[in-house]
Amino acid sequence: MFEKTLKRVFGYDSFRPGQREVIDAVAEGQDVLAIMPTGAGKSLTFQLPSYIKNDGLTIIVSPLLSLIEDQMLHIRERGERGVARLTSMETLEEKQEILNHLKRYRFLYLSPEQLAVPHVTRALARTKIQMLVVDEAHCISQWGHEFRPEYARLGELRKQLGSPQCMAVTATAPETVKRDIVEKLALFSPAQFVHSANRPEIRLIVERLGSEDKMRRLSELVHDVPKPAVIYTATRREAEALALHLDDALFYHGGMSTEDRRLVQSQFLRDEVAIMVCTSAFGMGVNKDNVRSVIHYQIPATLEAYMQEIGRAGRDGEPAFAVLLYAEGDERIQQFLIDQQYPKDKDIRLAYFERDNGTSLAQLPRLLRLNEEDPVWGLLNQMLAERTLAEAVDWVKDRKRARYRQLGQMMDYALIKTCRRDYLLNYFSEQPVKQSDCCDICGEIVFPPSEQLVSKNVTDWKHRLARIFSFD
Amino acid sequence: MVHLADGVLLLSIQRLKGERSERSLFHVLNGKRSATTLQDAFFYDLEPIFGLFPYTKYDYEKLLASFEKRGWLNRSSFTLTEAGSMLASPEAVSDLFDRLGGEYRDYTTMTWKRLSLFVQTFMSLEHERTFYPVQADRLAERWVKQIVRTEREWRPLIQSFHHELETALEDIGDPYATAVVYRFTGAFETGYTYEQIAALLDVDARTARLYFLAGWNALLWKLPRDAKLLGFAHGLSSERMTLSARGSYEQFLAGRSFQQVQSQRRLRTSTIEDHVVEMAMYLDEFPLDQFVPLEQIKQVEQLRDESSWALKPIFEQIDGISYYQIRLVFARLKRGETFV
Repeated sequence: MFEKTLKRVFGYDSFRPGQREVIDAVAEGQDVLAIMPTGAGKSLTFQLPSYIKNDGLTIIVSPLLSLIEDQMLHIRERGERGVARLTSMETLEEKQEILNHLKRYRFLYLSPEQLAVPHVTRALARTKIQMLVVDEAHCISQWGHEFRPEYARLGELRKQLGSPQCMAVTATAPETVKRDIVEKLALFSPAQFVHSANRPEIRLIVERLGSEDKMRRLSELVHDVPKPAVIYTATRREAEALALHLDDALFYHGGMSTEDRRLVQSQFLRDEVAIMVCTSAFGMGVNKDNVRSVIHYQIPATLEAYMQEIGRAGRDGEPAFAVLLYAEGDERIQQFLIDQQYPKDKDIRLAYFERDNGTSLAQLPRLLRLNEEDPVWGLLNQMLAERTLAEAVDWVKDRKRARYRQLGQMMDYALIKTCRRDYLLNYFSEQPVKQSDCCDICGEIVFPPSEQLVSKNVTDWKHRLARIFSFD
Repeated sequence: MVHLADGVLLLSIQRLKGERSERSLFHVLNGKRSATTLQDAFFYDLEPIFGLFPYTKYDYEKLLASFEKRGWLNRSSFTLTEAGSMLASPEAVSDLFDRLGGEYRDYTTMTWKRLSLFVQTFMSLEHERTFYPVQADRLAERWVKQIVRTEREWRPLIQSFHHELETALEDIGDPYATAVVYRFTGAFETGYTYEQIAALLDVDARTARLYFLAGWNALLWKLPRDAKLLGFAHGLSSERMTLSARGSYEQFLAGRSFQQVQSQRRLRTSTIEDHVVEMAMYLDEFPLDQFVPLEQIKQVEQLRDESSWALKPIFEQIDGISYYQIRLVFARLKRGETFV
């Protein structure tokens, strides 16, 4: 009978591998921890049960506005109107309107910050909740690669909502992170589903070269690899510079206006541009099946991040390529970025000193020259509330050490002389897999001849205007 | 490389004549609707860029520092160096500057969002293509949804839109026309980012953005009064006066006195005064002599240094006049009235 709902609501004839089991567990009312790679159809596993049970609101907590926007777009596309969101984009009136009419909705998307707003929590506690879904649940773990302090309160908030059934989903999570998720969300003997992290259709390639050769090599690669292709870099500035340098490439990062972001995404989705150069801001929630190649111009900070980013390739199951360009010393930029995410030792000391001498919390950010919106200040604020000075200093030291270790593991991936796939699977506690077209260590990887994907249509403005308004 | 966009920002500093601070320009660029900022924009001809450069304090500081470092700006006096003045002086800079229409940006922006989203939505439905909306604005989204659903003869209307756009853009010409047209998204072509438009026009992305803003603003004012496209501006106000000042103005119109307006609205004297200054700045007709004795009006006009809108020198030379009164007279002088 689930198949009927699947067909009626989503228009699919059958489930993708693994979806059915998760839905069974959800329908039975169990707490669930599902680790499914990007593209395996995660969202369907928490949406479909809502249509089967019809028993109240499904709340989905998600860390990024772009993710929320994207998922809502997909839900609305199939004609479901009972979906709303509470984010920083809505006005107070709009939020109130939504909270006053929660019964109208089947799905409610919100950020963890919004869920923590007292009157939001209260309003939700008064309504019938079928399930609380925590998307990108790895953000809850300090051992995860994208730890977000706002996620730390989700366990407590779940309690305030009356401990509804809870489902935690993420694409990747090693053992430590899994344990953290279960504990922090207080999942009750959850049904666990772990899909293999392996993506057999993606060939893994690492090229080691000198820093000065990277740009030249990238130009060649971009010419040779099958497209559409995504190039990941570490900073916005570099994304812009590379896009400028390459032909037929656009950049995408979090600092752009909404309209420009949407134009870029739309062009990429429609194959109007062949190459996207982006920071990690791109990709989460972008559903494009035919990405053929992912090139990393900079080494990412963790293997999880790497898996997630190369996972954008080959979602249609056709062969795809992941190329990492590594020059000695490249890791320094990631080290720098890690350091920037934590308050400096002297700032921690200064903050505690000032606080203990009666300086109000409101004045601290200015004293420390931190923006109030800066996550570093958020972290520091939280430490002031929960830890002694010595604990805080140690905690940051531990955290940084752990992050450096993760970066080291990522570097090992670039440096090893054994099968790269084995290495990745081993990291995620999986058994090795033998396959042809595996990685550059197992055998030479040859790019298929790449076709010209994009035809550029630059004409004078009158023709362009006429085409836009044409009914033919 | 020096770009036109830099020229526009330099020109805004030049127009302040060293009479206002870095802070003042910051608020103008951000479009702060306070009395002081509205007056700065009005007197120093900065209305075209009002609110078009929403810098953070940090980015603004970086911008000024870079201008100083390149030898264009004296930060102590907030005036341009000779090199800076050179860059601000070409006609291309002031042409672009004066077309930007920042004072109408709420009106022009919303009209653009509605029209561009409508065109994308309608043409995509027409060609049965799924699409990714280029606008994320809820109000525009709601508006377009309602319009698209209404039953009417759409095709001839769409053809009118096309025709009206083409005629107006022909008049405005390039580079503005290209910048505007390439921002549109149809069923098969997605609009260009400012970087892509910049590449087409061989300028930088910031300049491409200004070309678009200027082109779109110019287009809206070029349309004939009965243009079908003006339907997309339905219910939007292109008025410069703040809502609050408008409230006071309506009471004045109903025949109330300053004191009556003040006690009715429960606002401070200085607030009502600011409202009156707005009326003096924006209204075609304004009874100046009801607020300032004619003798003083004349004195102000005679004493004013042609090139300056500084209040203090006047204040120090006329007994019993207030800054508020000087502002009122200045506002009318600025509008080209004369009393001598």
